[in-house]
Amino acid sequence: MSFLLLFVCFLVGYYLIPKRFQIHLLAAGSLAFCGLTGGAPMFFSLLAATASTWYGAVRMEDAVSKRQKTWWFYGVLLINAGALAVCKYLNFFVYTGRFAGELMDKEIFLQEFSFIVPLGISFYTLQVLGYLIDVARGTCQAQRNLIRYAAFSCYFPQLLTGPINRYGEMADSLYEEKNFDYKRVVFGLQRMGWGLFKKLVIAERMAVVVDTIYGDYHTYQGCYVIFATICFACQLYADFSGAIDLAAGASEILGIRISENFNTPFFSRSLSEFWRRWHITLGSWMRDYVFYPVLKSDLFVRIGEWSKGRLGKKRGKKVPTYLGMVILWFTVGLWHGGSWKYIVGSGLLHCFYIAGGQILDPLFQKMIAWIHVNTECFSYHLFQSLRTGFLVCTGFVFFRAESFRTALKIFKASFYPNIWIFTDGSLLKLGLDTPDFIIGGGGSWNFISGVSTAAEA
Amino acid sequence: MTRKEIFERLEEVFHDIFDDSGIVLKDTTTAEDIEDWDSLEHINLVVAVEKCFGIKFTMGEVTGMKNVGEMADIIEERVK
Repeated sequence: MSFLLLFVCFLVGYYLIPKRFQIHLLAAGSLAFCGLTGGAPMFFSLLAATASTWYGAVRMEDAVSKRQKTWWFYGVLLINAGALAVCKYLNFFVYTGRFAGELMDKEIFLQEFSFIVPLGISFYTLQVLGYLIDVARGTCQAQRNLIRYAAFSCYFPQLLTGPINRYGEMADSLYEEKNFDYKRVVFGLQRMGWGLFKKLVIAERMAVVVDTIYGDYHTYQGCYVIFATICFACQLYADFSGAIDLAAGASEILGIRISENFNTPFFSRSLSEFWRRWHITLGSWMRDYVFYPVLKSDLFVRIGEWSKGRLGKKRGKKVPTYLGMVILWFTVGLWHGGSWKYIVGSGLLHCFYIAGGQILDPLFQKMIAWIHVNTECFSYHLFQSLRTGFLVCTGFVFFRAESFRTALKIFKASFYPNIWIFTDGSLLKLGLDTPDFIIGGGGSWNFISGVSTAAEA
Repeated sequence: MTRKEIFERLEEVFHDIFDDSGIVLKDTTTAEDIEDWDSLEHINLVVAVEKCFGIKFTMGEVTGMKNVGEMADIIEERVK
């Protein structure tokens, strides 16, 4: 609540001061917000990320030789990626040890490193690295004014939960001088309100069911687990897209355009389409800065030529693509957190589904032709969306479960015939009553189907 | 090389990569217009085009080009 009050004070100042100072106020306000929410660790790590990428980009642009430019690029890249790695992934090795133990069904005791991870570091590190790489590639010019750059790298609405913005897309609307526009402010407020509703009303209701069932999956088996997983999908989507609505709404009020992060993902008809519509800015970041460079590297081009010679053109060209996908999805999983439940559930599992779907596609086509399915009708599209949703939910089980091992136990627990829980009132004993379910379920359907986005447009 | 020649050779590459000899390229053709042209195939396509014209695209060009016309612009400039 106090944040809302601060935001209003900030806005009054933002529109009252001379317009050329708006950007300075934005940078200062962002740093203040950072200090207030994340304290000293976040404040200083964000400051370091900002200063290093700002200076590195300028030095790269001024470099007299290619070698100098390369040094600056890799130096600054390593500092920032290294900071992220140390903060988030030092424990990765601890978890990997435990994961190995889980696979062997043994408890391996390893002490975790405990220190404070700066809030939002995964988001702003990607954002500043994206900028650095863009300057190195020459797709955008370095911002020479540190304060103006800080307004981009520390931009407060996106700091904690993204979206991960691109400098080239955001710069124009960020740096132009803004007039107070009543209509835009009202739109922005509506979107913020809707975001808050999603987070506080829908996600929190769903969380009650999810926590109850996932907390005690020995008691709640079979359809309970399936129900909880669907509720978790709603919870996660409401919570995350609600946060994005808050960021986008606040930006609308400030007159700044930021990237959209979701586009009704649960209507996707395939998993690769899902990843173009869910957490869009992460997916496109990983594509442009991890997947493409890997695939275009000399090594991968050579692998491709070798495999085409061996396996024939059609199958051979898939080899480097699939290898690249393993690297891509491992990175995506690792980004979600330094534990194997993320690497599998938010990463490699999706890689497996997408590659598997492609490899088996000829077989599916034959089956479709054999049983004469009309693939262009509504019911087939619905089937495809439900199938995609199901696969996504299997990944969410890992995401929500305490550990990789627990996730496997939960999968096991879901095979228990008790379909009657949907009709005999058992669901009402999970902590929510009928009105709660109507609000949560109706609200979920409302935003999953994208009614809200249509209303905002 | 004239722009027309570039497009003819590009079409051959596209036919080969996407296994569809019906593809006709225009300046405004994008990944949206060709069903199999997704992020998984994009680099295969780019590498095949590089090989065909004996040039190299920079990473900035690979992620930046908006349509076939822009791709042809880069080729035109490189093979001069």
